[in-house]
Amino acid sequence: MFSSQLPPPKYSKGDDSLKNEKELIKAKILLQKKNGSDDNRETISDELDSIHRQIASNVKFEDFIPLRQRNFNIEIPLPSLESIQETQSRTLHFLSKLQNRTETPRDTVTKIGNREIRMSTPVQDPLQLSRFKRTGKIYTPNLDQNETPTTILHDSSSGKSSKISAEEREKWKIPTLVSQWKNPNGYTVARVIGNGEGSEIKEINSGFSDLSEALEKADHDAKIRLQEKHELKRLAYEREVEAKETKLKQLAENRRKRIEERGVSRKEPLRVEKAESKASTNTSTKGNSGNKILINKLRDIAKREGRDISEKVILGAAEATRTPAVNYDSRLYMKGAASSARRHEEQLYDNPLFVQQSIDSSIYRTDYNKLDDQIESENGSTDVMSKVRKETGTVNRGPIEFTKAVKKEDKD
Amino acid sequence: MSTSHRPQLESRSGAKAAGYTSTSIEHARSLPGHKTIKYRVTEPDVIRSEDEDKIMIADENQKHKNTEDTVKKVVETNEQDTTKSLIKISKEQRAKYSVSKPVPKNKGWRSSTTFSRNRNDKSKGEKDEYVNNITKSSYHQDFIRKITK
Amino acid sequence: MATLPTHLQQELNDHKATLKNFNTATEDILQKNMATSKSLAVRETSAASFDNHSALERRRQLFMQKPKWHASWKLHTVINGHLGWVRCVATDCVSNKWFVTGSNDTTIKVWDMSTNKLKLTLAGHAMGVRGLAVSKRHPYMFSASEDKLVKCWDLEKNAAIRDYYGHHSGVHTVAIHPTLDLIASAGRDSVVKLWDIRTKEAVVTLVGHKGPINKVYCLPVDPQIVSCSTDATVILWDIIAGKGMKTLTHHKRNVRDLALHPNEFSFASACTDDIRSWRLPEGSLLTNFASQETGIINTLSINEDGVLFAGSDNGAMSFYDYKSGHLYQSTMTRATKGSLESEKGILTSTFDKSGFTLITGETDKSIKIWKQSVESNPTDDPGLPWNPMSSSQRF
Repeated sequence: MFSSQLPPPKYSKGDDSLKNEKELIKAKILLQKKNGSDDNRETISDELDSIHRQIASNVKFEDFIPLRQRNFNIEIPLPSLESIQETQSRTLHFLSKLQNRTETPRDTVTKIGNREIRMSTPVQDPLQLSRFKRTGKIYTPNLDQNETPTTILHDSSSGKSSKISAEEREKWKIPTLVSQWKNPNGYTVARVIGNGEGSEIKEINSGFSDLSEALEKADHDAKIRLQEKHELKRLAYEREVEAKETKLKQLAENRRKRIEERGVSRKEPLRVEKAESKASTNTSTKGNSGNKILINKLRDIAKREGRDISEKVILGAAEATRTPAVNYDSRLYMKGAASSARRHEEQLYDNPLFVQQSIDSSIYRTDYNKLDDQIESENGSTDVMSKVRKETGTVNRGPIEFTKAVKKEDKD
Repeated sequence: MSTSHRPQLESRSGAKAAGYTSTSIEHARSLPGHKTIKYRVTEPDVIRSEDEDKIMIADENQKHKNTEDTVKKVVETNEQDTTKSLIKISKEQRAKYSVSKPVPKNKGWRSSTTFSRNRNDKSKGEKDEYVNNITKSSYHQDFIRKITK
Repeated sequence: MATLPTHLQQELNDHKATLKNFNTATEDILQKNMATSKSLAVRETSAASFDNHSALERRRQLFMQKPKWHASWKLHTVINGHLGWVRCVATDCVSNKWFVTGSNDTTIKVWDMSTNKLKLTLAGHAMGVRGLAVSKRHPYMFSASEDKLVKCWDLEKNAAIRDYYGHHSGVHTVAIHPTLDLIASAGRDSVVKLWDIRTKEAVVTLVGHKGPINKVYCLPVDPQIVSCSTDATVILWDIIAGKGMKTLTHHKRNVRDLALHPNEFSFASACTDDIRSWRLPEGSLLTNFASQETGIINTLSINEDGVLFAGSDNGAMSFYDYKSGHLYQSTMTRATKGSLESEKGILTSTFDKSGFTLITGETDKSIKIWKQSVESNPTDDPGLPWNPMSSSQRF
């Protein structure tokens, strides 16, 4: 039904039933073209006539005239009993012949002159593959070969039937499928790169890059500022500390001087000493001067914030952040974990992937010397190779190298 | 691959059928069965015709009583009689199917109902009436009403 | 030439335009033929046509006749039983007590003619049932289905007893030979197969159609098989020769149905907007029916009374007088309650044995029974006006 809307087939010729008529029409057209130039008009018109007759031989105007138009009551009787019986017998006879038809005999012999031709069909297993391959066209008998082609008696060129309005066509239009999932022919969408000539360069807003740059810059600046600040603070603090220390030293010296000179009252300095010594003994016994700074710092923070933080807490915090005096190499601790301490710097894994292989390669590799000894001890000296080895004195595992034969007499 | 699917626009023609190779396969339904044909033994119905020759049935198996009497009997039913009988039948059937529509007594404002149950047709007939649309049939509507409450 | 009566002359004057073209054409042909002395045969035929079959003569005769009057048809009952389209109907031709319908829901239902109640449902086909035929000579019914099978149902056992396997695709139609124990079936594989009822073998395969075959009928004399197909041809077959006797190519489009006249040796065929009747056995054109606006015609049925019914795909029902081709009634079916607008269409139809009841199978899955209204008579209900010129010539 819808196949008539498809484009005509590419490789088949189509309907050949009207071949003769088409040829005739073509001949007619040719003749008409010649008409103008040729003088002998009669002959041409005759030829045209014959063509017309040939084309229209199948068609008569009577085919189009309904017989009943002139008389509505035309008698068209049903077939008579005799005709029915006659047809029945004829058809029965034909059908019985069909059914009783035996197979074509296997062997047929015909005589042509003095020659005898024998045609025989060999017995073939029907399930066996046939010897002849099916290649090319299959012959189907054209039953209408002898008859003239059937002419079409309707007007297929009438505009009404073939002209379809655009709206009607739009209704029946099926859009081509573009799958969301499959793309078997590998179609791609053309990407427009900005450099393409004549192509529309779609500019990205500069704001994006500006923003990211600005953010980075700000980050970087902030880091630098913070670092500087930190540095300044640190320096200032250290200076303070140094200043304090120098002060204390000076005081201590002064005291010493005073003690040396007079014999000073012990109370104050003792107190001071005690306080200092306390602080100092606590920390100095452990021998960590950096920690002092940290402790003082923590105390200052506490004071500043107005919080009453006990010494214990401060000392605890300080100790926690303390680095030990002796720093052992981390590899010392790691020694047990990964046996091969010397590792390639890019080595990612501790253990080899195929442990078995490494075992095999290390454990089960034969020691040929030992093996040779074993063999010798087992087999005695009957073994060829052991003999060879004895004579030559070397264990030769490669191909045998031949030396020039030396006679015994010569040797001796 | 979905793109290799194509519609079958023209059906396979029985004319180009390749020869059927006989195999040893025997289909159960093609085994010989019902090997005898049954024939009707009733009298053949005679077509309204005047001549005996123009009777359609030709088979010998059937008994046809082709006497003139039977032919005449059939032929005598002319149009008037058939129309008369038709009139009778149609009248009877019309009487069967006539349904008098019940008209409520005109009681004025009393006859109009808003909340009373019995008055204007609950139309029980709707349940039995056939509707071609299965989603709009009364059975389906009841079912949905029960389920989706 | 004799003078025409005045009223006819007036009518002719009205239609002079069309007449003129034809006349000038015939005159041209005549002149051409007169000029060339050689083409005797052509001259003879053209001269003959000019004398006896001239358009004027034909027209005169046409006008002098009147179509037969028939009573109009009205809906009598609606039967809802099938769960799919009702594709085929057949009545019991022997006793006229029941009729069968086959449907897309793969079932065949037997209904009682008088009470319109369901008698029996026969299940057996795997796909929709497209064709039914009840045999007059055997207690058998044959059904054709889209599952490529033709089944023989024993009406005494109510079971399918034989399968006829061989079609390549769905079988659309089945017909029983009136005198021989043969059935003819045809379908989508564009081939008519003749089966021996008893042995279930395809004895003859008739090749010729180029498209799926819509309908097949069997006749007692040559042409023993008539078939129509989607390739717009109707072929009259000679089964002994194994090929078509005559191909009728007058139709433009898919010929969807054929109908045999019960009392005459003629048949009618239907295409879109084109119903024609033909004389057997030559297959010459008898009448062009006034079917220009009918649309796609799915089914044709002919009455003993000479009523031709054409059921369309859009639900239009047209009733014609067979002999004259006059459309005397045109109605529309009404789809059952709850159907869609598109579910209005007539797929199959048949007159019962008496010819007073018309049974149609439709796309809204219902079976409708139509009867001629008893009260109508020629004066009260004359039917549509007779327009002889509308269909006399159609190319």
